[in-house]
Order: sequence, then structure tokens, then C-alpha cells
Amino acid sequence: MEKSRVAVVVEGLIEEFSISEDRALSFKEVISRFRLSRHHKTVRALEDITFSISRQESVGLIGANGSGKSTLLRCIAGILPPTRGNVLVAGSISSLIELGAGFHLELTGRENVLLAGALFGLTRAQLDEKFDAIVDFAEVREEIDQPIRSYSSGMYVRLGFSLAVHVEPNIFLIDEVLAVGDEHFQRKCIRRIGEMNEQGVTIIFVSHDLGLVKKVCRRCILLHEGRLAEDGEPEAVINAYLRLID
Amino acid sequence: MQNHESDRVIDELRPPGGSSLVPPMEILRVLVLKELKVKYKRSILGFLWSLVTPIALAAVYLFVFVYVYKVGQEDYVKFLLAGILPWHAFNLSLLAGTTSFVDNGPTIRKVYFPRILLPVSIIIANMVNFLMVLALFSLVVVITGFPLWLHFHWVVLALLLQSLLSVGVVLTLSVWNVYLRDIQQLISIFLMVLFFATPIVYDLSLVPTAFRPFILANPLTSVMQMYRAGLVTGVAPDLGVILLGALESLVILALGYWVFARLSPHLAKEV
Repeated sequence: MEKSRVAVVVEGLIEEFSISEDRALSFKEVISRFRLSRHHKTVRALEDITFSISRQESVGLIGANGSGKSTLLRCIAGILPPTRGNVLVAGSISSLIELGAGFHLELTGRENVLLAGALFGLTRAQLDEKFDAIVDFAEVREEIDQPIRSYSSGMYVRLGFSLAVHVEPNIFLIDEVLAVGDEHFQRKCIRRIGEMNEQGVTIIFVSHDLGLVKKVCRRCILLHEGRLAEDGEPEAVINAYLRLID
Repeated sequence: MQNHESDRVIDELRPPGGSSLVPPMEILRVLVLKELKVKYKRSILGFLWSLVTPIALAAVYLFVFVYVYKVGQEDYVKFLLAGILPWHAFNLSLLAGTTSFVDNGPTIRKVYFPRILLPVSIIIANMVNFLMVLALFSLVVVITGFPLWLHFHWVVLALLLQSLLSVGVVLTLSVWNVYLRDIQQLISIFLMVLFFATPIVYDLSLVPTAFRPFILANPLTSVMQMYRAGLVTGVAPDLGVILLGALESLVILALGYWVFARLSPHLAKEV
């Protein structure tokens, strides 16, 4: 594989969370967090994950609840620092971990597009250029100057999604958000993701909807209890997953 | 279709933090605007609250000192306001800044952006708001005959020092508060003590010698002395006090950044 064609490299990634609900940290630990993990019980969400993804691939991440899919996606997004190992990416990233992340209920749809847009990675010029497209894609033209607390959940979700699919990242991470929205909107979104992919965007897609994964992805990675269990053709990996559940 | 700028850097493999196309300053601008917009949403008085609260506080002290104890000094109303108005801004910055990560937990867990922008945006929004208050107060000061333009450099320095100090304290407290929620309870007590440990409702010269070192060691004292000089008295404050305050503020800022740099990568896991 030519080096310049690599989009995401994950090497020996281990991700631990400390579980410290029973006890508050001592003041000394809070000040500096020296060797914090030594004194804490930790759970391993990801256990030595290694793989790489080339540019313009569309990869589905599947696995049971708690298998580490979302954690892996958040590590690639840079939200979680690796406990051990490396995550490297080439180019810009946009992640859609939750629809409406970064939205503020008291602000209008317009204000929220500008706010969340910047957090999602849309530059000011891009926002100016695409504002109408974002509003029309979300089908909220009439309500765009109302506070989004007055939006129906469908409108809220459509606006969040529309914003995310108008980002122009090199790598686009999507976590289980297509299940929301009606059939019509879902199809529109899948078409849009396909277009982005054709234009060169690398897609990493987490979903429990295996049919959707087959439709969107040409490669599939199966996580099982924090380990990488399978990696390959969607058909084969999905079958492996189904066998695993049985 | 990728733009050319991203094509140039696309071959370089880097850690994912900071892989957004949006420059941090742009994110900061958007966050500050959000703070300013949200602050007075669904409020009738809106911006006027930035005046009403400190004026009410000043009225209470005016009543206690001038009418009950009868100890007021010349220009006591202006003297009080020149201290209470900036104090109010400092107070709000610390309160909102300290809880900024806890308040925005969902956003932090789900979107990557440089974390430092969140508390800093809250302080900038409060300072912008305070600048409007200060503009109004300056107008009053000029109308009552004070040659503000001769002493305004003190106000500028005070604003600078107040901002540095706010950022330094808030960087530390905001991340600590994620691990130890006691901080957000302690902060109100801390602020109450600080209010009286700073020459806001009294003049520094009235402080008994025994307590003076404590008051002088407080970096906010030099901030207040400069506001007084620039807005009320026109008399240059003691340079030693100012330099000490400036030095302390820089140390607090450096410490704040150090604590923040150590703890902030873990925010998404802990908040």
C-alpha cells in the first residue's frame, strides 16, 4: 500500500477507562494526575487494535453493544486520547457521533447551524456558501429562524444530519445516527454519503443495521469484546458476526 | 471535491486532534458569540442586568457605610461602582468558567475541538459584556467632570490584568471541577472571601497595617487600584503593588495552563 494513500492508521491501540465512582480523587491526584491509573480500577474498552484504512475506503464497524465501536470511533476522531498505541490520520476529520451535538436549544436554527457548523469543521466561507443547501436538505426552511427547542424531533435530527453531510472532510466518521429519521430522509442521507465517498472522502460507519452497512460499505471490521475479530468483505464479516451471536 | 489546501497536507499522517478545517480562532469567535446570545435569551431586561446587579450591590454598601455608619468618603458612589462593576464581571467569569466543562459535557464527549476554547470563550464573552458596561460608566465619569482621557491607560492595564487573572484561575478550576465537583460549591465561598479581601467597598489606605500584607498580596488588589486610578482619583497607584499583581497574575496563568495541559486530554472520559 502506497503510504500517501493511507487515511487512518491504528497501531496497538489500547483504551482504558478508570472507574472511580465510589471514591473522589485525592487532591494531589487532581492537581497533577501523576500515575493516576495505578491507583484506579480500569476497564479496557479496546484491546490492542491494529488496522489501517486507505483513502476513499468506506468501512463499516460492527459488533455487539459494548464491543468498543463507539470508543474506537471517538479515538479516531481525537475526542479520546489513546491509553497506549497510536492513532494517526491524514487530512481533516469530521465526526457525527450524535445528531445535534453542539446545538443549543435556545438558539434559532440559523444560529445553531453557524455554531455547530464550526464545531463540526465547516469554515466560515463554507457555511456562507452552503447555508441554503443545509437548510433545504434538512427541510426546515420555514422554521430556520425559530429557536430549535420548538422543533419536532424529526426536524432537529434532520438539521443535525444535514449539517454533518455538508462538511467537506477527508475522513468522515458516522456513529449509528442513520436509524433516526424517516425512510425518505434516510435514503437521502445514504445517497449523500455515497456521493461524498465517490468524491474521495474516507467513510467510517458504525451501525447495528447490517443491511445498511452492506449498502454503504465495501469493507467491514468486526469488534468483539474490545478486540478486532474480523476484517474483510462486508458479506463475510457480517456472517462471522451472525455466527458469533448464535 | 476536496479543496487544494487540504490536498497539500493530506499525505501527512498526524494524531487526530486538531484535524478540523476550521482554525481555532474561528471556533473561539463562534463560541463567544454563542455565549453573548444565550446570556440574555428570553429575558426582558437583557443586557441591563449587567448594570442592575452591580448597581443594587453598590446601593446596599452605600446605605450601610454612608447612611448607617456615616463613614463614606468623597465621591463614594463613583468609588464603589469603579470597584463593583469590574468585580461583577470577574465574579461571573469565574462562576461560569469553573463549570464550563461540566455544563458542556455532552458536547465535549461528542465533538473534538481545542478544549481550552470553552472556558476562554466564556471569559471573553463576559469581558465584552463588561466593556459595554465600562463604556457607559466612563460616559458618566466624563459627564461628572473627570478627565478620563488623561488616566485611561490605567483602565486598559486593569482590563488586561483582570483578563489574564480570570483565565489563569478558570483554567485550573474548570478542569479540577470535572474531577471534584466540590470546586463549584467552594467557588462561591472563595469569591465571597475574595470580595472582602480586595479593596472594593473600602479604600486600601483604610486597611490596618496588620492586615495590609494580605490585601496587598491579592493580585486583584492591583487590578482594583488601577480601575480607581483610571476612573475616579487620577492618582497613579503604587507601582510596587501593580508589579506584584502583574507578576502574580502571570504565575497564576502559567500554573493554570500547566494544570490544564495535564488534565484536559482526559476530559472526554471524565466529564
